[in-house]
Amino acid sequence: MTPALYRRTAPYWLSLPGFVLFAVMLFVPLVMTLLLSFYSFDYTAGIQTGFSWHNYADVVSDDYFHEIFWRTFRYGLIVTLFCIVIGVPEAYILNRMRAPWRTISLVAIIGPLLISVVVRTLGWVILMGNNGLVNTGLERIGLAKIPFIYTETGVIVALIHVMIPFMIISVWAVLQKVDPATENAAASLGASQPKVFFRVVVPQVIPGILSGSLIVFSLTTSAFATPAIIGGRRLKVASTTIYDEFLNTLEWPLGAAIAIILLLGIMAVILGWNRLIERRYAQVFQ
Amino acid sequence: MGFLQLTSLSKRFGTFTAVEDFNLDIEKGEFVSLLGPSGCGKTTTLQMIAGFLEPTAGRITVEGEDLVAIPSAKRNIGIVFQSYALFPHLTVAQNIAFGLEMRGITAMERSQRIARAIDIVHLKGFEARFPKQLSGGQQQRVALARAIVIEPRILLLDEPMSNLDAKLREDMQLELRQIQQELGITTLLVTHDQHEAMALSDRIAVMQGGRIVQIGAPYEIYENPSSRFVSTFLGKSNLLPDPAQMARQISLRPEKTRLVPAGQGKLQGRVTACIFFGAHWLYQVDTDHGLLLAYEQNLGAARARNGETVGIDWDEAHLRHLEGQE
Repeated sequence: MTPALYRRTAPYWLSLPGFVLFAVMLFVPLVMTLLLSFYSFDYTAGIQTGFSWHNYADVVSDDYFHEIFWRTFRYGLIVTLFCIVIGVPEAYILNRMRAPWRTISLVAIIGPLLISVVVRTLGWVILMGNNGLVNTGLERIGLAKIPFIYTETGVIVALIHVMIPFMIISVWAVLQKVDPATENAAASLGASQPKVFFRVVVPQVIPGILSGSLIVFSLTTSAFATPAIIGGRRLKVASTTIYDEFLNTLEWPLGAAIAIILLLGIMAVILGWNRLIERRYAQVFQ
Repeated sequence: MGFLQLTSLSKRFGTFTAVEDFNLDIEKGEFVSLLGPSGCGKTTTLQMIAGFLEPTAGRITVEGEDLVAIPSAKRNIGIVFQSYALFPHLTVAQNIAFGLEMRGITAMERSQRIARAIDIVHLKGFEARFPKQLSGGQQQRVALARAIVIEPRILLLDEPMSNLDAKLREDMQLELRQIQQELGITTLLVTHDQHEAMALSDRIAVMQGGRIVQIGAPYEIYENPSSRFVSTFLGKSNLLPDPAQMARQISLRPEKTRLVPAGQGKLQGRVTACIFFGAHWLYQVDTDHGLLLAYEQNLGAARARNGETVGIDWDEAHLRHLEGQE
């Protein structure tokens, strides 16, 4: 192989292993799911191959599924919002910390990512469950219990806890590229501390907020363990519904249709979001 | 009494003393430079005046008013940062408007003042650009406009030219000096560039180890350096032993020397380098007192070649006795 040819082709065959992995692990299952969503299901005959839109029609026309999808996206929006409100100041504080403390805090933030979501969610159950630590304590001192398990508030709080590291990390990554002198410049021009933060720091980390929001939103809307454990059967979201369709009622085609709709919904949000970023900020942050 | 007064100013970081017993009086409208190598405390001093650092001891007053207790947002000081520190998310006009907005100035007056500032720094037509779309020189003009538009009591310049190329730097220096004089704004420049300090300042304060070692008009300091450090940091200097006192040295500026035929002059030596700078020739001559530098104005071709033996002569009046070893 000549050096020139080698240079030209190297990127392709070097990326081949990655491509094969994605093709086998992602593309094939996706196509199979897509096909499955057009099949039909019969309780006596099982799954029937064929092509029909009736699974989609069932989902689109049924209020039961509307509620589930609305809840899924509502969780996504609320969790993303809270992650921004909590995560951005936290990233800012983290960035201002001195040498040893910054690393310690960063480990404290990233550390939980190393623990399974199931374990972290069960931690909330132990702490906030009906017979958990907090509620038992409250009962002992004669106060009312705080409902947490099987409430939307509970699911959202636990999801924020799971998702917030992603927001902090993406905002922090952008913050490191922000010239700290811009804060001094703003102060010297007469800006108070809150004004420095909201008019100079936040606008500069918007790319980080937007990419963090993308991660948090898509992970929240497709989250399974937390809504399943804390929300239970009563507060179903799209992914727990898919699970039930596949494993409990065994209506695989319907489950596949829900999965495809969820995927398309998340993709629509992500693409729309990206458009917004590009239109608004391409000029400023190239 | 000075307009800006720094009195017994000190700043310690733990056990490290960045600035120690620093005293400086600056008159209204004066342009003063703090000149020194990195780590000499000049930037620390500037940051204390700006309010980004709190002095460990000492006073900073403007027209008798103590600044130390006032937060930087209320000091009314314009600063041009080394990195320019422009707001990347705002256009040129919005960058300049920022300080005026913070002061609650009406939109109408704001646009008039922005237009005037843009006029002063010659940035007409760039109002709607973002900083990323500007060259380094243009960014610096925006930084300057943003600092002067608020009509600050004092203008602080933190190594403002260090990111510009040589040609642009010279142009900007001339322009900056002109703007400063037109506005009559009291200015403190922090720099490690002796040429910049000399070109711009009414007075230069040479700093070393957190203190001012010499202060005066550029010509005055250049001609009469008090120490070896000043004589070598500000311009080049040949150091000769002082025949009167063993431990002391004499400074002789290279441009005050003349090359003469071998056998004549006060010292003999062999030319080890001959470099052409356009306006002058630089000769390096190996003598009994070490390597000496000699500048000759470019009045013709080189007077001596490498390896040639020459004499060096000078007027006794140009010798400067330095205080101490340092």
